This record gives sequence, structure tokens and C-alpha cells, in this order.
Amino acid sequence: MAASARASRIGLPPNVEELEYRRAATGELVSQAVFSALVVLLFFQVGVILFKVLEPLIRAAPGLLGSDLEIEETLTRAIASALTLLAPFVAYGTCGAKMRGLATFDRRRALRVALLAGALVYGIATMGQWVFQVGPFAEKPSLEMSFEQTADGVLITGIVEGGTADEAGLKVGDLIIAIGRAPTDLAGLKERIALSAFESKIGLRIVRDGEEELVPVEVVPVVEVGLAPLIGGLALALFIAGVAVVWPGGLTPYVLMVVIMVPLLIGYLWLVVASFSYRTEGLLPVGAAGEFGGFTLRNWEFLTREGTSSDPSIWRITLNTLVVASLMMVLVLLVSSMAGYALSRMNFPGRRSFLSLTLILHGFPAVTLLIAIFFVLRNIGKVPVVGDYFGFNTRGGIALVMVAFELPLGVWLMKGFFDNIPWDMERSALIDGASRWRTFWQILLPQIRPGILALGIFAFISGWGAYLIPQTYSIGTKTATLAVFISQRTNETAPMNWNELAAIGLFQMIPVFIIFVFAQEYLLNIYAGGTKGGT
Amino acid sequence: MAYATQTATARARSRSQAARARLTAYGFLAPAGVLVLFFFFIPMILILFLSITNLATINFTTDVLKMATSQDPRYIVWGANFERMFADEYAPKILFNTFFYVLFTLLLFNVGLGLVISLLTTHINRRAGFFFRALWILPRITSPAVYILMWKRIVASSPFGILNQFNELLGRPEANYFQEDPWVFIIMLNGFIGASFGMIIFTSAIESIPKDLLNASLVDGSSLLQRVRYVILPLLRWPLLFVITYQTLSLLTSFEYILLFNQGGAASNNEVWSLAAYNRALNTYFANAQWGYGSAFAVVLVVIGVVMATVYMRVFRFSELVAEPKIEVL
Repeated sequence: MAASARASRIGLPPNVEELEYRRAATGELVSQAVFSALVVLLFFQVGVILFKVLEPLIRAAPGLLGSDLEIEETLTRAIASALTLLAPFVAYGTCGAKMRGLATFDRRRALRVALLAGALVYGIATMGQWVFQVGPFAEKPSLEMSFEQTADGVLITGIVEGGTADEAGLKVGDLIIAIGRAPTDLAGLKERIALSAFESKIGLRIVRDGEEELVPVEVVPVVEVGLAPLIGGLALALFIAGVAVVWPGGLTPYVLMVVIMVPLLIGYLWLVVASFSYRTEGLLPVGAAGEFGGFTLRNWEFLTREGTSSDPSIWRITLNTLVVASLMMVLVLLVSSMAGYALSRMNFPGRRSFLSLTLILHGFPAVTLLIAIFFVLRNIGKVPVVGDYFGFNTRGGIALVMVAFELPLGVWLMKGFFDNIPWDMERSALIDGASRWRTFWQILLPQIRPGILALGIFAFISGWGAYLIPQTYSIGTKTATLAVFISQRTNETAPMNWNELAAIGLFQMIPVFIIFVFAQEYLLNIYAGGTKGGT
Repeated sequence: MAYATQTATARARSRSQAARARLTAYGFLAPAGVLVLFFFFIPMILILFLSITNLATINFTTDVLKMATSQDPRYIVWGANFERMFADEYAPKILFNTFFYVLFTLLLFNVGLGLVISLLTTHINRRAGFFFRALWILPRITSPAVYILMWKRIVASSPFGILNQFNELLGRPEANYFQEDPWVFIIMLNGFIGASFGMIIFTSAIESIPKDLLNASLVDGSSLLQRVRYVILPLLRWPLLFVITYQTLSLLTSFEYILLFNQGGAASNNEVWSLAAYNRALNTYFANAQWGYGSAFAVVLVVIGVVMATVYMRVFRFSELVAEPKIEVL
């Protein structure tokens, strides 16, 4: 109303879109919104059906391959239930979003239409749930009786006539004290019932007239529809439809982004909380007595602990990590820049095949060679002198393997950097009589400093976090890197201290994260060049 | 006559120069060559050889040459490992697990989520997009052991588990996710790492789309979804293909997170092919390391790896990369 008034005041013709909206009857708009919501619902349902069809196929899979083993399949079920949960809400949102155009001219009418459409879609979705007995209409395991907590036990306050509890011979006034031999309270009993399979039996130990008795009761499926979830659902549906009308579109990507990242954010939040607290329950820090709080620095005491020969101090392990990471950085840079230079600047027999080899190796998953490299390292270890530094269970050997794995990427990148540098400076240096090596070292390398920086940091980070190779090719803690040290601690038979591990984990992450923050822009480009081994 | 001698000496000089230049080139290549020889070539031959032996903890030797030349039937068993592998009661399950794991992780996360993130972060404020993308790199730079520690805590049972704490708040019964839904979490925790690879590739591809194209479609009155469907996605065909092939190969051989999460689970329930090779040959946890048998598992992957890498090299950038150097040797 206001918009059109303003438009006529400043002498503009009313918007065509606006006219269309105004001409349309409310019923027409509602049916449009409901229709698009139903299309959305249907779309999701097709997904769910697809997954339901997939599940038995997946279960049968090893059978098709000639094995009588079964596969525990949970992923399809998880995806299907996530889709089912999500579908109605997306549909309610669609109802509202459909009215966003109208809202720019007449907000109240848009809101009215959206709410009406939302309510209609809610009705349809709920009817669907009723027909298929899902959502609030799902069958739940039940004993068909009601009970409440008293000081002595769980008192039965009501029994459905002809129900399973009635059949088992339970009476109002019986006192449940245990399930089988395990004493129970109201919460425990409810949880036990909720987790039971249909037609399984729960043995209730009851007290009747001062005598104990064990009564097995069958768990039966019952549909209990409370009014509260239905009304709550309707309110939520209307709320979503209403919000969708006025929702600023620009916020959607941010919200989606945060929602997608929830597991990550939760994980890292826990890591930080845990490292500064006595222990954690879920995300909450908890003190010794189980109360909220209990912040402490004791998890960080590992920083000052003295090392022994069997249990080296953290600084010794950090030194190991630093040596491996630095060695790796220097070697990757040196070796791949030399090879990159030769491949970029020189012509020699075998150049083409070496290049294609590099490229094939870049795609080739080197981790498949772990077993064979074990023997290579063992044999290098037999060579006098060299073996002491580069054999099995040495820092040098571990670094060499990791260098080799990063090499195809490094050579490829370095060649690219050199290709982009003009030839002029190098030519004048060569004409002046500089050797190839000197030209490379003094003229070319300084020109690709950003590339060297990026590849170097990349190599350092992957050396710092390396786990698989040090873990496979080292024994004990002599050459353990931080990552190996942490995983050894999680494998120990003694109960592990999660909070201390979280602190060590953070300690290990911090240097890398700082480097990463400062070198982000370079690094993202290198990561795009592809990492090996990992996913 | 004099002229002929001159050209002969010149030719000889240039020949020796060329030889020297070649030597310099090989000198520059030598370190890389040695590493490739020792850690790619020899292992590749070695693993083929190991797969026909029954080397294990009980008859362990590192003297490969002696083993090969002795023809000792205690070591050389020819195809027995492969026969055993095909007859392994868990092999069909492991094979299926591998396909299942690669397919779902690839489609849902490495490609699907990667694409979603890059589309979202390129359509918001530039700095915010950069910030979000940086956050997505975190799992990649977190040490695997710590990363798994985090996830184990997320799925742990009450009162420590984070998910179970939410369950408690919502009044739902406790669930034992670690035992009951291992696949959901294995795929998720691998996917959250893998998504960043696709994200980076797709982001740079989206950002390099000429603005004119997008502007033209804007002028034509397209909605955001229409622009994504008809302008952006068709232009992402090559990056998509690249990510799919490259990541298929990486996923086929990535096992360290499953190894850390639950070692492949009971009865090989969550074991994938590469983990099977590792568990049989190198995982000292089981005390009896069977290098020969493990190698047979690994050889399958080596063959797939070589074939796929060759195909992938032919499809992507091959000609561009092996082009003659811009500058000839002086």
C-alpha cells in the first residue's frame, strides 16, 4: 500500500509485479505456496524412498559377492532419517519464502498468506505422518501402564485393561524395585523401555504385599499421540513460515555455512574447553565432584615434566618433530627446485619421460607402497654410516620417505614457477660466464621467493603433522613425533587422560595454526595443487 | 682443408659442450631421481615380489636378494597369497566397504559439500568467505590423532559424549554411536577433511568465471539458483571431473583416519582395502605381521593406482606440462 502510494506520488507507474500480486486472490496465492511446498516435500521423499530401497541392497551386497557375512549398514538409514526430519521444515520455509515478493509491497497480507499456507502444509504433512505412522505417530515400545517415582521404588499408578501389563498380572499399587537384578528408578525404567525391541521381555522385580516377585512383561508397540507435540509442531511450522517472509536473503549463506560447520565447531570448542578443565561432560567443564567449573592448568603441566629414557619429555619430542619437519622442508625445497629447474630450463634426453613420470607419480597413491618401503629402509639401515642416519627407525629415514612422497607435487609446482620467469637475467649471467649452479642459486631462486615460501611452509606443515609414516617406520619413543606421541598415548592400556591429550593436541596445533594464519593466501594455492595420501 | 679441420674441432667442441650440459642437467635431477628410485621404483618392484612370498613375523628376513635367488619354497609361494585373498571370507565385505566408503565420502563430502561450500563462500562478503574457507582447512592441518580424539569425544557415551549430552537435553535416550553407527562418523570425519580440497579447486574455478557472463544473466533477470544451474555449473565441468578422479584415487588409499578411529572395527566391519593391507602387513597390534599376504592386498591398489594415474595424466594437463622448454640450452 505504502509503496504504491509513494510510487504514484513521485509520478512513477505502479510496478507490474505489484499489480500482479494485487490482482491475485488470497486463495490463489495460498495454493501457489502450498503447491511449491508440496513439491519440496515430494522431492525429499523421493530421496528417502531411494535410500530405503538402497538399504536392503547394501545389506545383501556381500552375499552377491559370494560371502555369508552381513554388513551393518547405518549410513543410508541416517541419511534417510535426516531427510525425513528436515523435509517438513524446508517445506514450511518454502511457503513463507514464496511470499517474499509480495512482502515488499504489502507485508501484512504476505504474512497472512504465508501463515495460512504454512498451516495447510502442516496439516498435509501431519496427515502423511499419520498415514505412514512416522514422526509423532511412530510406534513406541511401551508396557501399557503408568507409574511414578516414590521413596521406595516406582509405583504403578494405572494399567491399561487387556494390555500387556494386565496380561502379565501386574496390578495398580505394585512397587517396581528392579529390572532383573539391577535396581532401577523411574528414569532408568523409562530408558530401558525406550531402548527395548518390540516383543522382547523385561523382567520387573516388584514388591506386592511385602513379597518380592519377578514378573516378565512383554514390550508392545503403542502409538501415543500427545497434544503437546502436535501443537508445538504447528507453532514451529507457522513460525518458520512467518520468518521466511521477512528473512533477509543475504543471511541465508551465512546461516547455512554455520549449520554445516556445527560438528567441526563443536569438536574444536571441546578441544579448547577440555584442555583447561579438570574433566568434561559433553561440552561442559566439570570439577572433581561433578559440579560445573573445575578450570585448571594441570593439563598443561606436561610442559614442565622432566623426561626419562623410556618416557621422553615433551620438549624432546617437539625437537624430534621440529627436526623431521625442518629436514623435510629443506630437502623438499632443495630437491624439487633443482629438478624443477632442470626440467624447466634444460633440454636433455629423457626429459619428456621424467616429466610424465613426475605427473603419474603425482596422481599415484604412494601410501600403497608403505609395506615395500619398510624393506627398503631396513636394507638402507644395513649400509654402514648412511644406515645410521637414514635407515629404519631414524629421523632421517622418516624424513626421506616423506620428502619422496611430496616430491612429485614439489617438482611439478617448482617447474611451473620457473616457467613463469623471464629468461633475460639468466641469459646475461650465463653469458658473463656464471655456472649453471650459480645462476640457479643466485639469479633464479631469489626470483621465485613467494613460491619457495609457500612450498616450504606446506612441506613444514605436513612434516609437523605427519602421523602415518613416522608411526609405521619408528619403534618406541626414540624418534616419535608429536602426532605419534599423541596416538601412542591413546593406545596405552592405562586409562588415558583425555584432557591432557587435548592440551598436547592444542600444543601441537598452535605453531602450525599461527603459520597458517600468516601464510593463508599462499597455502590455499598449494593445497589446490593437491596433497598426497590424505583425503 | 683448413676449413674442414675447423668445423671438425668446432663440432667436437660443441659435442663436448652438449655432453657437459647434459651432465649438468642430470646433476640437477640426481637427488630427485635417487629418491624416486628408492621410494617409488624399487618399492613398486619389491611389492610385486613380496606378494609372491609368505614373509611373516615367523620367518622374517630383510635380505630380499637372498630370498629371491634361493628359490626357497619356505619363502616363495607364487600365487598362493592371491588365492588366499580371493578365498578370504572377509574379502567381499572389505571390497564392498571400500566401494561404499569411497562412493559416499566422494559424493556427499569431497564433491558435494566442497561444491556447496565454494558456492556459499563466493556469494557472501569476500572477507567472510575467506574466513570460512580458512576454518575449513583446520581439519587438514590438525594432527590426525587429535582430530580423531575430538570425534571420539563427540560420539562417546554418556556422560562424556557431546552428542549424548544433546540427547539428554532433548530428553532422548542415550545412543552408543561408536558401536552402532561407525560408518556415519567415519564418512563424516573423512569428509570434513576431504571437502576442503574440492572447495579450493571449485572456488578458484568459480572466481575465474568472467564477470560478463554473470552480469549478462543478471540482466536477463536470472535468480541465484538459475545462475548456479545454467552458468556456473556447466563451467565447472572440468574442475568437477578433476576432483572426482583425483579424490577417488586418494580415498581408495586413505585409511589412516579409520585406523585411528576404530582400526577397522570388529569382524572387518569398517575395514577398507588399503586398511586391510596395512593391518595385515604392518599393524604390529596383531603381533603377527604378514608382509607377504598384506602385499597381495597392496598390489591390487598399486595396479589400480598406476592405471588410474596414467589415465588421469593423459586427461589433465599432460601436453601442457611436457611441452618443450621455452628456452633452449645456450
